[in-house]
Amino acid sequence: MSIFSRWAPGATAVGLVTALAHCGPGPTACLRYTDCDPGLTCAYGHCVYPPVASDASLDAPASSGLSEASTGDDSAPASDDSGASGDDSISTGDDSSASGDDSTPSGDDASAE
Amino acid sequence: MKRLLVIATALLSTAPTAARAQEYLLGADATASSGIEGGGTGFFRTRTRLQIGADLRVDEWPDDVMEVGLLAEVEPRSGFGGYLHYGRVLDKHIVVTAGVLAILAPASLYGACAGLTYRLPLSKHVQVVLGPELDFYFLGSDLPDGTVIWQVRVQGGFRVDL
Repeated sequence: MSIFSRWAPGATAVGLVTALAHCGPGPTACLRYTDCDPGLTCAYGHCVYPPVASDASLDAPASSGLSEASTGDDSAPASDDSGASGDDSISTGDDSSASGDDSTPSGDDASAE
Repeated sequence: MKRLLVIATALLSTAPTAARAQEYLLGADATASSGIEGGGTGFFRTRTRLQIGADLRVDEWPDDVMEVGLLAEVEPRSGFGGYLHYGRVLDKHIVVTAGVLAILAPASLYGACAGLTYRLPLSKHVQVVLGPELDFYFLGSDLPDGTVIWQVRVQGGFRVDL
């Protein structure tokens, strides 16, 4: 048995893992709380700003109170929600879409603006 | 004289043989692993994990192995924990394991795991270890409510008989 045939399974496994490295979760997809950046929480597979009990949430009862994390603009998590008319809220029906495309989270934010 | 011979023979036949103590067989390993994981929201690449561990066997039951070790998740996020496995040597080169593992920092995660390891000998005391591992996390402060995380990992590394 040649050394190449003995190492073939290992090389295949390393190749598979390397290939999988390109389909990791984006910055807004999560399975664990610690998958998210500080200040965000994991809900329904996405990193979102934690719900806050404020007057704004009372004015907009249709909103779930969870807004998906945007990139770069950390200073406006709550105020942007009121003007987004619920587009950024996380619904359970869309959770199946967390399949790696979330690695470009800025695309959703651009459309929201 | 005949009586003395009988007594000496009796003493020799009943003399205790030297008791042999159980011998512990130690090993140490260092591995790295990665793979895919999911929990109801699609498939992701798992965090890359490094492990160092020790395994202990008793020579009377050389096929039963207890493994204990430390693990560190290194990317894209970090975490630290440990594991405890029971292993059964199925073949000279194949070991099947099952046990528990935990991530303890920065948040807790507890689960169970099972794996299959192939030991490819490099020398008399050194082997390359390679194989799949299946992990389930179902408890812990790092787990959103109602979520069970599963992971399928491929791990590889080195093991040394000490």
